[in-house]
Amino acid sequence: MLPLDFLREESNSVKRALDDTLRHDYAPELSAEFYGECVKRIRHIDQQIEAQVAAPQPQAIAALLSELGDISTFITLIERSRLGEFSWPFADELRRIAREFLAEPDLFGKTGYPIVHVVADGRGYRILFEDAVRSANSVRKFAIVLFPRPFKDHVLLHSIFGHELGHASLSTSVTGYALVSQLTGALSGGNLTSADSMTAWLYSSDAPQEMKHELNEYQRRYPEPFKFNDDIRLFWIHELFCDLFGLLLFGPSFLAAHKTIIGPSHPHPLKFDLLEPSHPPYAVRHRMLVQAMRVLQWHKTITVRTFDSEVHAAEFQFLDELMEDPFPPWARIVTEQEIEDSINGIRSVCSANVYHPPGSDIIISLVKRLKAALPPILDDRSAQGEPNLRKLDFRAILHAGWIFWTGLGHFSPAPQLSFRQVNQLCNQALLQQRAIDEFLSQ
Amino acid sequence: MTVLSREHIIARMNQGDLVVSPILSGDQIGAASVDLRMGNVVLMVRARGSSHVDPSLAKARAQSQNDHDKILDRNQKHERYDIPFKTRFLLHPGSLALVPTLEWVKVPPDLMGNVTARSTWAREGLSIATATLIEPRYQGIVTLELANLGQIPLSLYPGLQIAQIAFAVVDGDTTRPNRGQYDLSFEPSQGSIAKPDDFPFIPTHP
Repeated sequence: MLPLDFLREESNSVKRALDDTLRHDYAPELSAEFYGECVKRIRHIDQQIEAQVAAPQPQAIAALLSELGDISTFITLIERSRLGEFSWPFADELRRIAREFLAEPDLFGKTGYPIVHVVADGRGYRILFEDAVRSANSVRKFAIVLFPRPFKDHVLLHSIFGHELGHASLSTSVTGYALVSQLTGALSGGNLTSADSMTAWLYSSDAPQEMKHELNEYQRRYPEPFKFNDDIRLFWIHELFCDLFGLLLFGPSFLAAHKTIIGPSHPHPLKFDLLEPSHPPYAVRHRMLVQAMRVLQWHKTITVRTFDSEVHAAEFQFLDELMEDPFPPWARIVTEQEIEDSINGIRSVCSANVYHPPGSDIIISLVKRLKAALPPILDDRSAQGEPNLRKLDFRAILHAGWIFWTGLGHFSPAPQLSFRQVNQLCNQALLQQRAIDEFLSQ
Repeated sequence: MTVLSREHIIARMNQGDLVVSPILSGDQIGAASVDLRMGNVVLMVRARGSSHVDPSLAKARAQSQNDHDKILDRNQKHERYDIPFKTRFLLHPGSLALVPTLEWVKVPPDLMGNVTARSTWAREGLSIATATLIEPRYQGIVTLELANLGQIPLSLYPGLQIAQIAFAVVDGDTTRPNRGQYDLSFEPSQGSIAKPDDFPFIPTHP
């Protein structure tokens, strides 16, 4: 088979695979937009293939094969984004936020929204966001949100997506550009100013013993001592920024998920891999989030003790555990002022989607529902039975879920709910709140 | 048997021990019942799943040491569909579907629930004819066993009020020693047609 024939065969196969995706159910209207976009891209490739017939160019054929491979990857992932494999109320909220953050002008200057799909893939929390659309006929990028399959019901853990949304937002032409320029200004005065200043911080006398040991080992094996370069500096700034972004987006729930998911995978929180230094040590990330909680005043309880002492005690314990910071002063790589400037920078770009914690009465009401093993929604009514329906930010449900779970020991009688059950109740609440929103929108 | 009136249903709901939540409209509470809305999951028997229902097979599975077979049997029977709001689900004549209610129901120890189809839907052929009694202390979504007894398919949408629950007072202690306080039901699931107490009446080899 000639390379051009194989290319044609592959294009036809990708189209057939695309048609197969329509065997499954997706959320309403979602299949039409991804199908239409893929058809446009495949048609464009088919035109390019026919243009090669007269004088086939190996580089052009290889480029078209690669482009088909990319479409095929998205088709395969989208096929698995069918309903039933994840919490669709949560996925819907994520899709809504992602569309906002990842919007950018298309080739014609009109605001283009990405095609966002959610997939349970079993490999951790990630967002695959296309860097650029290669075909002139394509106007919309794909963004695939990947959940770990085993945590299908664990909506409290899904707050960690705030970090991944940060990464995806940074790669957009509008939001990303604005964020990077804010960030560069905010972090330009301290340890992160340059690769040299970071290296000085790393070798400072108060660096922890385990880090010093790593550096000595490195120097024993390699001719030059370890030094940061501009690329690594940028990686670290992006990672810290994305943590901050996640915190602003999901509130204290983000730090709770961060600590729960990322903490255990760092048995040595004070050091990082010198051969693959893409992420700051966990201790540095946690310290920055704890500092940010203080800057945002989120380290203080929302609930009032006199209104409900149990919920207040639970929230106190939740915050106490979140703010727990056993790491030495060296872990403080950014100052409070830098954090505040970064927060203001993020707010100036994304103010509409930043989390605003609810008031004491709402948190108390939601947590008390969980104590009674009920989905945490606002569901009160008059003496005559008339409901008092209200809209509720889905992140407040997650916030209440974390307070309840962390402070479980403060409730009497002691609830016997498992972490999964608390997550399922919160997931049920997301669904019911969605019904309330639909009802109110009439 | 004393059935709770609207006044008493609201009073018990406001008291907090009887829960049907969310109530989206005051009209959802009738003279002596509360309307229930269809939830967002549908379980239908899978065409290639089970050849027939036989308690002796269920007994064999229950007594088997083979986890694969037990789980396969349980998970293969139904096809599960997630139905977001404003999405249609067609219930064909003669077919049976298990769906959850949108509402979370919590029945206090001194009450029991009785679930039936709403008459408006029953007149169209929709039947909720099977396990209609909700035990005291039940917590969770209620599984509705929907059957279409009419001649034409019924279009159903999550959020529609298709069923109703009435509450009756139960005398005496309703505690069941083998039932945990935190058994919560989040989804419809296949019931157990052969309980250990039934085993003596079921042959080992059908």
